Amino acid sequence: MVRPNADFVAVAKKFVCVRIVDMQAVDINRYRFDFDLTLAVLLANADGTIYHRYGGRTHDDPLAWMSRKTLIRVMRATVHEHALHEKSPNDKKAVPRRTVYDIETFRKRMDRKPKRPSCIHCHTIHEAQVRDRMASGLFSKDSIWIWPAPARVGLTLDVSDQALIRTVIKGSVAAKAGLKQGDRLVKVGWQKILTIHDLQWVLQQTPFTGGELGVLYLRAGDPEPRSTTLALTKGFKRTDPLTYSWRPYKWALRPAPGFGGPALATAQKKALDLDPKKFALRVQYIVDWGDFPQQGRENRRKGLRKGDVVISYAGKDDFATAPHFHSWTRLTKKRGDSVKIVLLRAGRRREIEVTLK
Amino acid sequence: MAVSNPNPLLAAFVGAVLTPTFSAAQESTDGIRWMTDLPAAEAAAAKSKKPMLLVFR
Repeated sequence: MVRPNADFVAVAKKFVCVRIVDMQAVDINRYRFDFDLTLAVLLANADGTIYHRYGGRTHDDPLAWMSRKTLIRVMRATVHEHALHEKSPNDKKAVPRRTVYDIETFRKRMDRKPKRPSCIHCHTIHEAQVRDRMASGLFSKDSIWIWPAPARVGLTLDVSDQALIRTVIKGSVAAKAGLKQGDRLVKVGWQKILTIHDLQWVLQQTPFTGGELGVLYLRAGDPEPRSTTLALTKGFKRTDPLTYSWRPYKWALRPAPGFGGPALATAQKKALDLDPKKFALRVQYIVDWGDFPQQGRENRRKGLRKGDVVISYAGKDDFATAPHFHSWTRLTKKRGDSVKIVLLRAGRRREIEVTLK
Repeated sequence: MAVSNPNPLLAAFVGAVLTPTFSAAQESTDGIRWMTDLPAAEAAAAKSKKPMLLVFR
């Protein structure tokens, strides 16, 4: 049993604290954050102003960017920002209220069910938005690159002190802007930066085609902040399939492998006389049902069976995880591509070739 | 209030807030009232002039 942190309790008493586990009635135009996250925090004014966002993760750890120190720091800062805001509130343009049921294809899908679900998870929102864009013909693969991590501009921020630059990637946009390790971000664009998710929000609001973002930052020893500009080029939001692989709505993207299952553990690979450093996946299901049965049917027709162990897919045998395999297929292959699958069945190696639908 | 989740981050969110048994607005023994009704929380924040801490989980 763990007792809550006294510093957190002290500052939390200065807030109206709200816990949301069901997104059905949440205004998704007002409360915007990376809906795919396991846990996200917004620090807000009742007038709709969002002071700060807290959250973020890596592909292999949903809590990698979580830090109690940062959370308490941003809560304390928000108390001051809130006091200033209350004295002179900004003129805010009212944004129309929008819930998940205002996403047309989602509402229609729910209307076909005998009753509405008792709970809508946060990640359902993104999935619904993607499916809606697909259904309306407005989908573009560029639009899947969301909530860019600081690495997209060449930065790593300190997890415990998230305005502090931990590293700057050589040759990156941040390096070209003159930012250095140890600098402290003050503001990027219009957003005061106290958290990684604050920076992600600004990058999220910047078009895929790029643009310029003003940066105010503090360098150790300087009496005043310096300013510079991040020159973001087209495609800056794009990341690699492994980094993307944790996102649940990758499942909505096509083409898909049309099968899946668990990656084999080292001992399982050794037992099959496979290289433990290479990828192997046991086929647990073949998707020849649901919204997109075509690929599963093609896989079956070409000879794939449940229980097969896939050891190479499209010539690639170094997937880090099963989600990596799924996101790689969806992000790098095209419909109509021919894919060779190497598999083991009853100790014998086989090859099949399928066409991606 | 003690919590059963040993993750220090989750523990930071106080008491039952991140446990499955949390069901309604309640006040923990630490004196933090956690609300689950968003419109009511917005009204409470507007009235009290306090900022809102929204935990989406």
